[in-house]
Amino acid sequence: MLITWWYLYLTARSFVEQSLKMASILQKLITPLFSGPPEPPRNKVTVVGVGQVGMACAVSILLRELADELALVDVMEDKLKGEMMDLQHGSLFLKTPKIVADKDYSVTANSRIVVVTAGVRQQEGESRLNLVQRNVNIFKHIVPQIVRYSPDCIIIVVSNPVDVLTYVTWKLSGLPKHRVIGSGTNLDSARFRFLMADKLGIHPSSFNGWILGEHGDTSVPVWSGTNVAGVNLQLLNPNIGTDCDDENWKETHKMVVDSAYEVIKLKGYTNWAIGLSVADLTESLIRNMNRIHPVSTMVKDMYGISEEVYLSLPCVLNSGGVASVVNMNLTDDEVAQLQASANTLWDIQKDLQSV
Amino acid sequence: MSSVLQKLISPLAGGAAEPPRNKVTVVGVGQVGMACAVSILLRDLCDELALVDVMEDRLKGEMMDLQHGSLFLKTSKIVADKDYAVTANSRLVVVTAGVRQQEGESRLNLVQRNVNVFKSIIPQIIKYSPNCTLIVVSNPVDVLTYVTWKLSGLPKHRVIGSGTNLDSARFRYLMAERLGIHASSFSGWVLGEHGDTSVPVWSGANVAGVNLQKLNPEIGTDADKEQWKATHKAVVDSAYEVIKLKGYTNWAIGLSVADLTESIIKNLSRVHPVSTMVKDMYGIGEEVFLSLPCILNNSGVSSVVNMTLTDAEVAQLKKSADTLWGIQKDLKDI
Repeated sequence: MLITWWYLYLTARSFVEQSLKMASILQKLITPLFSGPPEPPRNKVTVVGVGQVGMACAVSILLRELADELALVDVMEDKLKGEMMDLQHGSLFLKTPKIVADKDYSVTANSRIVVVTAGVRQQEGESRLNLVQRNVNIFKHIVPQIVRYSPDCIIIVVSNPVDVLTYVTWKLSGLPKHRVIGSGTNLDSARFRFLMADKLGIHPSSFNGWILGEHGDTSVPVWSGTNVAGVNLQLLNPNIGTDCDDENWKETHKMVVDSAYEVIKLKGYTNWAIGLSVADLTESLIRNMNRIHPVSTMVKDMYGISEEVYLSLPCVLNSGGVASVVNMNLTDDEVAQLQASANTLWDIQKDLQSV
Repeated sequence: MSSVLQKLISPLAGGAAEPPRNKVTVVGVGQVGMACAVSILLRDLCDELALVDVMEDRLKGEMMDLQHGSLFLKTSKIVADKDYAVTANSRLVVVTAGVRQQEGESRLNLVQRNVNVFKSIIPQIIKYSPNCTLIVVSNPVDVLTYVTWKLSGLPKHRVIGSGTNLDSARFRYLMAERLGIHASSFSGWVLGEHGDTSVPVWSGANVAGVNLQKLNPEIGTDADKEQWKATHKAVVDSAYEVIKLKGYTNWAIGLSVADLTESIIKNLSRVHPVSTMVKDMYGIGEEVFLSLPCILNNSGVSSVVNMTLTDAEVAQLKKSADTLWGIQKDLKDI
């Protein structure tokens, strides 16, 4: 009897020793407290398109610590996987614990924000409007997939021509207009503020100036609103922005319009500034900040515009998307310019196939 | 007829603008250089950023693109020129210039090509920033850090190779993923050569102080059932794999360089595995640069942490040193 118990004891002990030896480091090191499926992400951002612009957006968003999960999507599988791995290898230095990528949109599920940078880009000397139909066809594949997996998301459209493509995205998505935003003149305004501030020897954040309307050749600098510390520049120089201005401030807006062409000519594309500006918008949306940004929104019935076009106006952005639009005091001339942009854009939009 | 500027702003302090206090230069505006630049900018580490390259159009385009983002940044001056005068008074100079590994090419093959490039770069850097600290990133980084040290005439604590800072970051990420924790909670060091013969110090790997080798004495060996050694192999293969998939690597190295920059600029005295001059350590008799845990602060490498390495690990370091010296002794004119 004693011997049986003794043998039983020995067997039990050896069994325990065996299983201890067989336990992995993970099992020995870590004792789970809570079992169950991991929680879904609360601040997931997807970037569609891992070209130079998409990756600049991704890196800016990561370095600003805006997302708890980042998803990348593209059709070029090797490049996509390479970019995902390169970002993952930087995880030690980041606060976004989950970075995923796939050509299948299921990887984007439950995103709060989806940044669309996919499509073809401007060649040297090519205007944004020339890209249209090529990019519409791409969007017909992309947008329904995005909405299928993240029906409550906010979409930021970056691909050019951004105003037209934001309209296209809105139509294809079926989302309410406040959840489809074009990156619009957020970048133009940033460039404007940089160039103007540089002439005045101050930081761009201390120069107030808005560029509205089309993100492109016909953007509208609202000279009547430009100010530093509340001091209105047009009051100091009533000719500002006109052709009879001795100081030729108009030249600065022209430089903004030419910026993209110039950078493209020099380095082949632009990416850093647009990436930073998209992260700026993302921050307002994710953090529910109610900051005002010049972004492309649906402007029908404003400023005498009767068509469904997207143009940049100062929009209050929060976690619901475009909460409201600020009503500008525009001069008749500025309103006329907006209307002219609207007409140009509608001209293009009305001819688009199957949107 | 006063201008808007004159009406708007009344200067108080006359005189020349103050020189920068935390200027960083990045030499080379390829994918790696720009990833370093953007990571440094987004971490708000410098008050002035200078870019240098030989390709003038690309250089100007990159500078403009960064400047256009100024509204969103806290680095008020971003300059660029092919003339090194633009780099004057830098605290830190990050060297990414040179040719990069082609698909399947080992880092050591790049050597002589890059030595020649460095001969035109390094003296110029020193001429304009005689008190700077240099971080060498270009590959093969350990050899090129040695070359930089020789060409610069700087004391050895001011010349650092990015070394295995990136390998260790990848190691910590991959190991941590297997354990379901964040990379920063996994402590593990990869030392020695930044490349195929890097040394994972398994004896030091730990989580919350719990030593992994004590939990699994076979960790890192071929006999290990859990095959943890494969994780180090994945680190060594990482760069080749990413290069095969996207043509180059840049984000991870950019982030790791910004991490080193932060320790130096902010005088943090954090410990990083970076490439430093290791003659007379671990029985190494030659002037080679290998990665060891270094304390980084505003003097550069202020000290080196003495690791307790196993005989096998010391032997691996010595072997790396021999391989590197084998290449270095044949280099011309440095």
